Formats: sequence, structure tokens, C-alpha cells
Amino acid sequence: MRCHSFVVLLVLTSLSGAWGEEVLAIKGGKILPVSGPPIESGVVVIRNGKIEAVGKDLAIPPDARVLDATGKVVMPGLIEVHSSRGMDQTNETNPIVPFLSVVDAIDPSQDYFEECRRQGITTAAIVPGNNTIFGGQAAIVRTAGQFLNEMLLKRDIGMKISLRPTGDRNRMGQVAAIRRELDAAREAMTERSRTSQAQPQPTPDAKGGNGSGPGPLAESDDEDTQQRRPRPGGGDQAGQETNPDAALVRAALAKLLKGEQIAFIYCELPMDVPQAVRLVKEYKLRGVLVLAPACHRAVKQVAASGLPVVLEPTLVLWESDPRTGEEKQIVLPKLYRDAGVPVTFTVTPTQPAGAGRGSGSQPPILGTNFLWFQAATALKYGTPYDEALRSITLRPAEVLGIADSRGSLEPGKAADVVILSGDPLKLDTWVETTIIDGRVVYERHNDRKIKALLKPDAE
Amino acid sequence: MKPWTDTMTDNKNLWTQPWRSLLLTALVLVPITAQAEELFIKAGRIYTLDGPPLSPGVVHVRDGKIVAVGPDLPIASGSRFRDLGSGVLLPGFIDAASSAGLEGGRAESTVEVSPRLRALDAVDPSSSALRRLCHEGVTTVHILPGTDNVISGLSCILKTLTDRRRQPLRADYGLAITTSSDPVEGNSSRNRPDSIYNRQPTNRMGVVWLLRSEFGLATRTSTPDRAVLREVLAGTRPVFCTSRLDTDLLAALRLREEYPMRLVLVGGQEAYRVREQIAAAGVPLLLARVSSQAGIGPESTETILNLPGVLQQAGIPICLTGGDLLEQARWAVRFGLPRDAALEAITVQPARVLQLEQRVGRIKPGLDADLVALSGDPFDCSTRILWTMIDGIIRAEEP
Amino acid sequence: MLAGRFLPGIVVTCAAALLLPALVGAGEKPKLAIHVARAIPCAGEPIENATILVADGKIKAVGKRGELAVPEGYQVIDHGTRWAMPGMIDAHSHIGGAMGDINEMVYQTNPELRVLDVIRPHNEQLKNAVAGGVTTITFIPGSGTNMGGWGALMKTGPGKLEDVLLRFPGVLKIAQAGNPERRGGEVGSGRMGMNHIIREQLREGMGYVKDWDDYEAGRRPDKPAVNLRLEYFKPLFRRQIPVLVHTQGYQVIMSTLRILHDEMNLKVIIGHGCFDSNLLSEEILKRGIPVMAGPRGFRYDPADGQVKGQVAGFADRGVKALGVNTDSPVVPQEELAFQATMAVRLGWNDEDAIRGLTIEPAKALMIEDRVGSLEVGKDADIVITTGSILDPRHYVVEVFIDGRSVYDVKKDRRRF
Repeated sequence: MRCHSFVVLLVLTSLSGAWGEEVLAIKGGKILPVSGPPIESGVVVIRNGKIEAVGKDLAIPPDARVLDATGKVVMPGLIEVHSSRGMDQTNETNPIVPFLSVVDAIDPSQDYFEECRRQGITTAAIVPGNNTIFGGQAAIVRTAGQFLNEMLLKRDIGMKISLRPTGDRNRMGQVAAIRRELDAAREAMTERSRTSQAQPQPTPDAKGGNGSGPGPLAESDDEDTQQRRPRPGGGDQAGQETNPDAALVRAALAKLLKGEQIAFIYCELPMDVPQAVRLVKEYKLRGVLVLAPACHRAVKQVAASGLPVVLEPTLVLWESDPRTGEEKQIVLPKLYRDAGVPVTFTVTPTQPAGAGRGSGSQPPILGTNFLWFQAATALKYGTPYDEALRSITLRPAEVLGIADSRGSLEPGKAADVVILSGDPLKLDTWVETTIIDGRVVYERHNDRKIKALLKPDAE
Repeated sequence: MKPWTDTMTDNKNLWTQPWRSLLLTALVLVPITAQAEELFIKAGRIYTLDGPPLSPGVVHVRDGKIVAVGPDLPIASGSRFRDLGSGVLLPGFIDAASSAGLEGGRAESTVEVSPRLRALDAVDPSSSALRRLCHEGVTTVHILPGTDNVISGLSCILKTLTDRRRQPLRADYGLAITTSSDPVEGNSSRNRPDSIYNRQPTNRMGVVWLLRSEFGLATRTSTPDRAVLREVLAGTRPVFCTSRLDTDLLAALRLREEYPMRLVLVGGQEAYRVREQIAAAGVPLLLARVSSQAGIGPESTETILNLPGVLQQAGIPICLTGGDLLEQARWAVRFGLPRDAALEAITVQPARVLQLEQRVGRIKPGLDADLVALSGDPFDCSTRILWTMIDGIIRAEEP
Repeated sequence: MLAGRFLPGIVVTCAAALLLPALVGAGEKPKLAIHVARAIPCAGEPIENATILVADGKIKAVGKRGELAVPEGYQVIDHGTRWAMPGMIDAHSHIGGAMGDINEMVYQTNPELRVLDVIRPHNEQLKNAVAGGVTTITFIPGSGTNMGGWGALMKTGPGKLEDVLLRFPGVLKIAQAGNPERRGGEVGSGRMGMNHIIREQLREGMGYVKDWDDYEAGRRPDKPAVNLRLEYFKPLFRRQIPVLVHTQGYQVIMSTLRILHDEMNLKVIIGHGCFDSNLLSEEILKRGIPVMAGPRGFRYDPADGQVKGQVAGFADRGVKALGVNTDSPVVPQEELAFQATMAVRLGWNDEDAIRGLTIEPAKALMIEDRVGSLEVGKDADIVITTGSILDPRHYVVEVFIDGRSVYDVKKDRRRF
């Protein structure tokens, strides 16, 4: 899982000083700003990590390093709106941990980030996996950097709530647990606001802490209770108050209930969709639906909810009608588009699921590890080109609340730029250069790994 | 969205067909019947795989066979005509190593050697897997028994979707064997002594030994249960050997040196490491499904992205297999396989390997009218498959 | 010989034979003048033909033989062709007591637990350690939990507990990943959870110490309650003692730097630091954090398939505060020098390797005023070898701890 080009990246980042100090000018390429019409043979000027200007026949600053994109295409960096990779583990065993943060698990040296740079994904929202109830806090990161602080753009932007039962639960238990925690948190909030004058604030926040922890437990005067601790219970018990983390859970859910964070709600089956919509309405959540392929049967409810949608990588699937035995091909981007639902996309893990013995298991669907391919699939089945491109750039930026700084090539926005050998939605196109916040983080001609995979050395 | 249906194989037609032909024979008007089966298809581009592509071109189909193909053909009056506009026509794809349609287990795992068992006995012709293959443009499929045992049985070749009355192209074709470690699963010396699974092979050495000993016994005995193996040794029956690791591929080649056989390799994830040896042996390779991402494959094989390209350049005849052939061809081209070779790998090359060049694999007069219509350039990822024709009848069509 | 009057004859003889060296040693701080062919003081250049003067358990002087006069009353020990070096220091050891007592695993953080309560001075394993030239160890709880408890800095030689104890609390032991993962459903099965658990416990301690600091400085009128669980956090958060962290692998080291150093402002020692940890050398250097590396000393670099030395990996990237450890009994304590040998074999240099066995761990552990080099005023922990300890063919012939000879191959059986 460790990537070889990481060492190269380390050298690059350490050599070029602080992030994005260079002045760059990308000239001669066909620019796809996404926020406007294409510009043939245009110029992008980058200064201090930001886009200074985009246009035709712009003056190139004398101190600029010039990247010649003649014959190539220049577009904003792609944004993966939801990823559970890049961490050492996607979920804790304990399913109710909204107070944990992916920040403590993100590993900059993983293959996932190298793969992102290679295919032009410059920003990703790292979210806990779906094997949970409340998985923890998500964060938006640059896909380059050797230390977390360099990568982190925004932390605690939201959390994962999963409607797929985990552990021994069934759906009744899963939803009951979600409601119980949200109710308790809501109650605690109203209680706190009622008695807000009385309490002095405990512990000063440690530098960089997540701010949701309570003060030290040594508030009680009773020495005995301080020195002896409750037996570690962990887990989800009927007697919820004995859960030593209950206070932390409630505090962590407060931001969610105030609508300050995104609730990434994972729906596995169609029946989870109305459940998710109910939760969003009742608890006034800022919901984003993360939909497994089967959820297309609930497309009407999805459309009616008006909630942003994230689709899992499988976009084209076959279903057999249980009554007639007829085969039907379902094309999700078309299905959702026809229902008026704008969608965003995600990609599959780097390691293909080994087919194991014989030919039994399902191989990964070709191309679904590339974010551009997901957009190309949408294009293939009727989504207009501009919209397809937008669904992997500006739309995910909007869903994540970072559209003011990323997702398109506009002056003032962060200089996340990708230079490609051709049309980004064509199969023979390769990413040549990836730039994040004005710093070059990937160049195909330096990519030894891809060379080895295309032309292995003769034995 | 209307689901696609078989235009000619639903129950209704099966029952009406005999009635109609009775009526017609009563009228003794053979030309009228023949005229109903005549079809002309015009396309913006036709890859015949039998010479350079035609742009544009016309194909004439009659009675399930290709009658003529050329840049421009006179279209007989009264015959049906389909104009694809700027669309593209290709020969129906051939999946040379598939398990589609096998129901109820892929191989007989109670014994390790079962050369006489037939995949055809386990194929369900109405299986959804076959219907999906047809929708993907695959018209001919070679179905191999699984690799759960060392010598698993006889393969068969069918058209993916056809009238139930039609016979398979080959009922019992090749012998499926393997040098991989798939058969060892379930076998263990730790099983109870009376368990049938307390048996060799429990690792690769045992697998290869079993192969060598079986073929060895076949040279020395004439019992009916080894008849199939004798046919292999006589060269009248090809052998399809699933091997993924470099060491397994070499083991297969070694077996072939020890016991002359018409060997075809299947799988080959690590074939790039031993490509010189495979090329020198002149053995074709039916590649396992290519992936758009490199990583660790089955049996912990280390895969590369440009496997088809590397092997093709080494001079090894390769076929793409495992469904979704057009998609696989596209990704193979992205990673370095030349376009021509990619088209061949899903048409003429498998036809050659399966000894069916006289029936399928090209758009050529006399061959079966198995055709795939595309909305545009085959290698553009936006191109869709419009319809799939088998023996002159469109069996799958985009709604 | 008072004991002899009350015991039967044969036992007296045996007892006498056993007790004599101890009785002679105990309470006596001999004055010694040790001559060696070469002394490596780890403070300045090695000295050819050196003399080391020892008195009251401390080093009185180190100089060239002949230049440095031997005063009256000093017993001369002429070690001829041998070498002298400072007693070696292992920053990561679990053999100071019984192996069954190093992990108390019901709770994930155990700031109430102390190895002080399980120390067995000069036990069998420590006797072997002495024979390997190791005179000081950091005896710490295991890595079965995220915070195992408080470790002790102790000498490996004989004596009562108070004689051998250098400092308690010596260090806090934290294991950040790679063993303490919980499997029973508690929070802490992965990185998110473990880091959270560690952070919360440290915050509790930090709050407690702040309350007491405020009170003692008059900023807070009412006295905070005493919490025995949290008492030892005082020297930790006051940066008087370090936290020794079991940490390895890129993400874990990064978390150590981010959370323990940046967020909690602790004095950190990186323990183990294996695999690709040395890729973070720049960040480690920025924060001035010492690395006590090992015992896994090598790694096969996936980029080129070559074997790379862990320690050399740090050293080549500029890390100077660098040492090795055994994690005994994972590697027997007496083999500490072999760790340095392997590190040199894979690219470290000799001089830094000797420093990595002596003064660098002393500095990391904040005991360099007592041990780590042959300098005036420091404890007379001196190891006499047949040659460079980096050469595995050489071995230890005599060991002095606090100015007393505790191991001598001429008299005791050779243990290593």
C-alpha cells in the first residue's frame, strides 16, 4: 500500500519551499474552465497558489515558469466528493464514534493519494466507511503532501451515518440506535442552552484539537470516583448512560444537529432512502445521500428530497426481473438525470478484489477506478458534455461547500489545475501534469510506476 | 425503458414457426420464404477482419449466412434493409474462455480427474449470463468447466443466444486442465482419513504430478475412461490449461514437452514474465479479463496494465476473454495494444484458436451472419452497442 | 561475618563464598585508576593510552596515561590492550522485573500504573545485560495498551532498589499503534480510536496539572483534589521527563509528531521508528525529537527491492539524536551492541553508532548529567572491552557501575 513515487514527491515538496510560491503560466492549451465556455489556445496565470488570470492572449509575467500546453487540454483539478480510502482503517469496531476524526487515521504515503495525483484528482473528502452507525468526522484534503497539516484543507466537515446494519443488528436496531443518539444529543443541546449561564467552560482546547471533547473528568469532588474508573463497557448497550463515551457522542452530534456539518448518509437498499430523507427532515440535517446501486428503485424519493447525491462506482448494472426473468440494463447516470437528480461520482479501490479460486467472484468493472471514466459513462448515456465535466469538478465542490475556492478555473480560486494530453473524457487521454495550489505534484514523464506497468523490463 | 427481448426466440414464435413453414411449403413458394430471410445492412464503416475496413460498406445476409460484403452492393427489391448511418459493423465477438451459463457448480470436485464430464451438461441456454454476453456483442462463447479439479472435463462452444433447436457449434471440444493451485482448496491431510478430501493435491507439486501421471497412464493403457486423454495425445483434442503464475505457465509448457498436445493457455496474469518461452512454444493465450487498474490478482499474481500489448509484441497469439470484450479491447488499446490487434483478439484470433475460422470471426461470404452494430468508433468509450445479430437474426437490441 | 555465628558449618562456607563479594562491594566506593589502551569518552575524541580515575562512584578524571597522575590511595587496574567506553544505555527494555507484569490491559490508558512496583534489581536477565555492557535501562510497561504506565530509569547492577534507581518516574510509556488495537468493540480498534483515547487521557492529565500549577502559583484560590491516577502527569507536562512512544510506520510517526509534540507539547522520544518512518526525518528534525530505533534494523525498500538500514535512513537524512534499542526480551538485552553493529553494517558510521549506544539515549532520557559519557562528575559506569564493541568478535571483560566492579570475566563466569 505504500507508493514508490512518494519519495519523489517528498523531494519535490522539500525542494520547492513553501507550498505554491512559484509563479506559473500555462499557455497554448485548450482551457476548459467549467465555469464558462472553453478557451482555445488560452493562458492560465498562477501566483501564490491562486489563479490570477484565465483567458486568451494574456500577458505572461516575466518571472513565471512557463508550462507549454500546446495541443493539450487544461482543466480544473478533479474532486472526489466522498472517499473512504487514504486511511489505515475505514471504521472502528465500535459503531458509535462520531467524536473520532479521519484526521487521526489519514496516511499521506498511501497509494490512494498517488493514484489521485496520477488521474488528476486534486481534492478529496475523506469520510469514514459504511460499516458503522456514526463513523466519525470527515475532512477535505489536498491529495498531495507529506504531513497531514500540509494536506488538510478543512476538518470536521461532516460525518458518516450508515443505514446499512452493522454487527448483529438489523435495520430496526440500526435506525433505533441512530435516533436514540440524535435524540439524546438534541436533548442535551436544549438542556445546555437552558442552563448556559451557570457552567464555566472547562479545559482550554489543546492546539489543533477537535474541540468536541469535554473537560477533564476530575470535576467531581469525590476522590474515590476520580481514582476508580467505570469498567470499560464500550459498545452499544441498552443502558446507554453507562457508556463512558456518551457525553462525547452528544457533544460531537451537536454540530450535526445545528446543520453546521454534512451528514453523509449511506443507503444500501432502496428502503433506506425514505429512511434517510425522514432523518434529514426530522433532525434538520444537512444531508448528502451516498447511494449504493440498488437505490435507483427509490429514484422518485431521491428526486423529491432535493438532497445532493453521491453514486458508488458501479454505474451500469444488470438486473433480472424476478417475475418475468427479463434482463434489464440499468444505467444510473441516465436514470437519475432523467428524474432531475444531479449526481456526483466516486471510484473503486486501487487493489482489484482478487478473484480467488476459480472464476467465481465478480471482477471490478473496467474503468470505474477512474473518476473521469465515471463522467464519461454519464456522457455515453446522454448527459451533456459540460454537465458531465461539471459533475467531477464544480458540483462536488458545491456539495462540499468549497466552491468559492475550488472546482473551476476562475481568478481568485485555488490553482488546482490538470493538464491532459487530450479530451478529459476520452479513453486515449492521459494526465500529463497535476498542479495543486500552484505546485506541480505530478508529472507523467517522471512516473516510473506507470512506465513499469506499461512496459515491464525484459526478464 | 423497454427491456430488450429476443426478437425471435420467445415462445410465441416457436409455436408459430412450424405453422408458418407448413403453410408456406403448402404453397411451395420457396423463393418467398427465402426472400423473408434476406437482409442488407449498410454501415458507415465495416471492419471485416478480412482485409482493410470498408468505409462505407454493405453486408448481404441470407439464411443466417453472409452472402456478400463490399463497399456497395445492389440491394434486392423486397429485402429488408438496415442503415446504420455513421454506425460501425463488426464481426460478432467470440469469448474463448467463459463460464457463462454453467449452473450448479463449475466442476466436479469429488474427484480430481474427470475428463469425460461435459460442460454442456451443465449449461442452461436461457441463462442470464449468456443473454448478457449477447447484449455485450458476444455471439460465440467457449464454455470451459471450472478449475476446481485438476482435469475437469470437456468444453463446449455455443452461440450465446439462439433457437432452442439449434445445436451447439461443438458439443465436446477441448479438455480443461489446470496447473494453478485452484484444485487444492478443500483437500487437506488434516481431514479425517476416510474423507475423500484427504487426497492429493494439496499444493502445486501435487497438481503437476497428477497431470503427469494421468497422461502417463494414458500412454500405457487403453481403458475407456482415459480415451479423452488419448485423444489429446493423438492431437485430435485440444487442451485448455488455466495457469496464472509464471511458474504455472512454465509448468504447462513443460507438460506439453513431455506429452505432445495441442495446448492453449488460459489466464496468464504473469505471462509477461515468461513471454519468450510462451512465444517460442507457439502456444496461444486466452487472457483473463484485463483490468483498468494494476494490483494483485487471483493467486496473488502481480499484474501489469499493458499485459495484452506486451504479449502481442512478443508474438504470442492472444485473445481477450471473460465478458465485456469490447470494453476490454478499449482499455487494452489505452494501455498499449495496437487497435488492429485488439479487434483481432476478440474476433479472428479466438476463431482460429477454436478452429472455427470457417464459421465465425470475420465478415466474409460463407461465414455465419454474426454481427455487432456500434454507434461509432469501437474504441471510443462513448460508443454504444446498437444490436447483436446471430445467424442472421438480431438477438439483442438497444431499446 | 556476623551471619556465620548463627548458621551450621557447611552453609556458612557457601554463604560466605556467595556473600563475600557483595559484602565487600556494598557500601564501599573504591578509588580506582583504570588504565586502558584506548578510551572512548563520547565527549570529544577517543584517547589513546588513557587513564580513568574513579572515586565515590563518580568519574574524577579522564586523561592520557602518564599525563594524568594517579593520586594516593587509588587502586590501579591495568587493562593493558583493552578499551574503555561509557556504560551502554538501552532506551526500551522490559526486563527490569518479571515478564508477566508489564501489561495491565483492562483499560486502554493506565497512568496509575508504575513499573516501580515490579522492579527486581540485577535479576538473571539483567545480569546478562551487564555482561553485554549495558549499565542503564529504561524499564517500561509493554505496548499492549495505548498508555501502559510509567517506566523507570535504572542501573543493571546489583544493589537495593534505591541504589539502582536512577529516576522514577523515568518516562511515560505510550504505544500509538501496532499492538494496542482493541478487539472487543471498545473505541480503539484503529488509528482514529487509539489516537482519540490517547488524546483524551493526556487532556485529562493536562487539565489536572494546570489546576495544580494555577493553585501553586496563586492563580487559583482553592486547592484541587489530589488524584493519584494523574499525579505523575506533573513532571510530564512540566517537561521534566519525556514520553517514550512505541511508534512505527509513516502514519503513526506522523501522529506522534502531530498529537504528542504539536498538540500536547510533550518531550517526545520516538521508540522503534521502523519501516518507512525515516521518511519523516525532516519533520522530526524540525521538532528536535530523538529517535531510539530498532530492534528491527532493516527494511526491503519496495521502490528498488534493496535492503536499507533503518538507522542509516535517519542518519542520512540528518537526524543526529539517534540511538538503538533491543526492546528486550524481544532481542536479549545483552545484544544491544549488536543492534549498533547491524546499523553500521547497513550504513551508519562508527562514531555515531557508539554515541547511539551511550550519550544520545542519555540525552533523550534527560539523564545526561548522570550517564552516557566518560566525563568528570558523571556516574562511573565504565565498560571494558577487548576492542571496538561494534565488532561482534569483541566482548566485554569488565563492567563498573557507580564505580564498583560488578562483572569481571576473570572472576565471574563469562556471561556473554
